[in-house]
Amino acid sequence: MMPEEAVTRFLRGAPPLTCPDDVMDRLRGTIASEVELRRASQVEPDPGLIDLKADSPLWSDQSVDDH
Amino acid sequence: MSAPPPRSGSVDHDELSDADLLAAHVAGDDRAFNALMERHADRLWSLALRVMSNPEDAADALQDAMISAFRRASGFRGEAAVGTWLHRIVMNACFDRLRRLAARPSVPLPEDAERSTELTAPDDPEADAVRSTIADEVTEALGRIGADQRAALVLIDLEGYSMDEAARILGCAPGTVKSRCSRGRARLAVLLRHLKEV
Repeated sequence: MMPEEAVTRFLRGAPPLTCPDDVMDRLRGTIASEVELRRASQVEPDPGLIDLKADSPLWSDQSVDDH
Repeated sequence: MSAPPPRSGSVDHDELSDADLLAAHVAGDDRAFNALMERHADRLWSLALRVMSNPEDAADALQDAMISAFRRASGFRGEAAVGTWLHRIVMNACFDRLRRLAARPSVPLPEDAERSTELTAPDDPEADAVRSTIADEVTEALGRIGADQRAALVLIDLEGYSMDEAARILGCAPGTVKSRCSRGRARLAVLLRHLKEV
């Protein structure tokens, strides 16, 4: 039986791997999409919209008496 | 993690540490994560391919892992190196995918085997043919042992991690990593008994 140390040497002798270009391109595309998603989710609300809620006749904190 | 660099487009990402790149990404730098990913791509690909034993599954697992790392970066607490954190995320993505594949077994097509050779053998005109053959046989043998043992051997014997680091990546005790390595090497010793060291 081959000793454990020899197996380790075989494993350590394996050549280093390089990420293939097609995989790298796919990963870049994936991260670009994630960046776009993050940008879209970080859109600041228009400050002018804040007043709309208070001024709108459709909005009231009063309870509704449904008669 | 140190203070994130400014968000201006003039930041040279090559000069930033891994931790600074991750901090910059969390702070909103749109290019920082890509720079971090490119820096670690070869080692993460190597890990994914050797654990998955199939380039298509490895690419899928790596993609899952990068999305997860991108979204979870703010949760990085700096208790381990960024590279170790990335390795752990890739390993988790690989095991998730292996579990799904185990539930839906399939026989690889012949083209997969050909592409595997193409993708795993880097261009090296001076590579010794015998060593290359041995490397292919070692890679194939790795694919024939259990995923737990394979993952431990890839981290310890191929990636050079310590038992403690590998245990952190795998989420188990160092003693468990050690026993998985030992059992994995014993199985590989049988599978590779026909080889002679060069």
